Amino acid sequence: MRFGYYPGCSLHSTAVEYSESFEAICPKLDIELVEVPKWICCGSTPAHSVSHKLSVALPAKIMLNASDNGLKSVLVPCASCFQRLKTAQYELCNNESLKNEMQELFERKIEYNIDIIHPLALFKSEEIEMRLKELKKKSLRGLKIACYYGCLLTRPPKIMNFDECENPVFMDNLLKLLDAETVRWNYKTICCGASLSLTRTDLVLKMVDDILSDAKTSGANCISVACPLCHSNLDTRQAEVEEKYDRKYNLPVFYFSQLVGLSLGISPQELGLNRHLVDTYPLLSEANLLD
Amino acid sequence: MQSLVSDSKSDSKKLVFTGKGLHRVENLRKEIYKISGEDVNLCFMCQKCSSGCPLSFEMDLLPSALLHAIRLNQIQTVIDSKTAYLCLSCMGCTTRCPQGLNIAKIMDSLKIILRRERVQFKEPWIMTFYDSMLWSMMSFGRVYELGMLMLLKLRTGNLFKDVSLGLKMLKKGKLKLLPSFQGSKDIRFIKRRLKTVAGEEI
Repeated sequence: MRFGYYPGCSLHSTAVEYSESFEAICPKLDIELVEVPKWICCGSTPAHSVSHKLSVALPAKIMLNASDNGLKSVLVPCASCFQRLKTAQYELCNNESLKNEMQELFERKIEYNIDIIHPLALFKSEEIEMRLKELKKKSLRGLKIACYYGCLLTRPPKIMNFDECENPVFMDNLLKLLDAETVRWNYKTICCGASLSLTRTDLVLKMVDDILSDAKTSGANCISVACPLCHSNLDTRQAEVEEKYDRKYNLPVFYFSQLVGLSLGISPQELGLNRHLVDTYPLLSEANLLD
Repeated sequence: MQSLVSDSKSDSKKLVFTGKGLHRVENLRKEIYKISGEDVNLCFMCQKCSSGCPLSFEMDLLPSALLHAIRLNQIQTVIDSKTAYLCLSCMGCTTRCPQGLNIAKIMDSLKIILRRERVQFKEPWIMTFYDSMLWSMMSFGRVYELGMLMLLKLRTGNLFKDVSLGLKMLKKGKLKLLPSFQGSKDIRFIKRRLKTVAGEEI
């Protein structure tokens, strides 16, 4: 299967292990990734906080670049980019005057009828599921995972069209398929504080503390995420949270693609598991996933 | 309640004098409707937005109260509140609103209006962060994190915050040293056209 691929800015820097692991598992699952040529930033939160038109124009340009190069569907691993692209597409579909304005802006007819797909949605297809079962080399038994979906992956539901928005289960289902145990917990879709991390760190530490403590009390020994910002808050800020609230969590935070990669037998280095600030190796060796 | 309403009259004048803005906001609700297409009057104060908001503990006005202030056109109350700046756009309220209001978008519109009017931001750092990130994406086409962080530090004057964390991330290869210029031409085009077509300067 051939898909367009829009990594987004984060996957090239702070979430480099997400792109490494995702690009490593794709060939094994017969997924060919074609990076959208000359892609630009999706605008993320700053764009829609400053100008509504800018927040539509940037994703529109990305979709234009994709369709100009014959890409009918684009995989977007970053939850924030995914939401921005889907929202822009929704608004272009439903707002004729905005669409005309964008056509005037780009001085051409704009094409936005492409499929914007999050990689997690791929694993819902039976074909990929079968392939995953065939290729599975290691079982994730021993990992008790709290699946953290974060806010943007499923919300708002009328735009994202993804899954049950208050209690999503698609990540749980995928990881259960690989023999992992997933826990029931309350903070699945509660925001981690996102971009306030750099400016109001105090608030983010409190929010992350709530999330981590609920995961811990629910019996999880690690967390799985699908969003670079969730990862950076839960992983890089974890030591600070532990210091501030005088607790010990020691919860490694994985991208779901890293866990899939481990089960497919890809080496931890290739999956970027050495890049985490919360050491992932003790838990992985305990679960016999390192050799 | 009556005193609040009469307050709002003097408030609407204040805005003109506090800011150096070019526009005058007479009716906040209509102004928001123009930008977002969302009508605050639909709100029937069920407070679902406030009860599910992950940051309500820090807000001075709960989201529902802010909506009410907008409806009463209490501009000064709205300017003095930090609620809109704190909004994370996590879309919890938007998802749950029984009236189908896109509350996160209303918060965005409010930020856009207050920015246009050059009102003193209640949470200046948060807006400075957005500006730094915008600078980074509008000059390079893609976000250049290291440059954005340095600009943020210079603008806020808080030079040493998170430096050790930044160094750790550099060591783990999670921050790129040099920017990518791949999309800079396209982004300059969008910036120019936004100005000519929509009259918006980013």
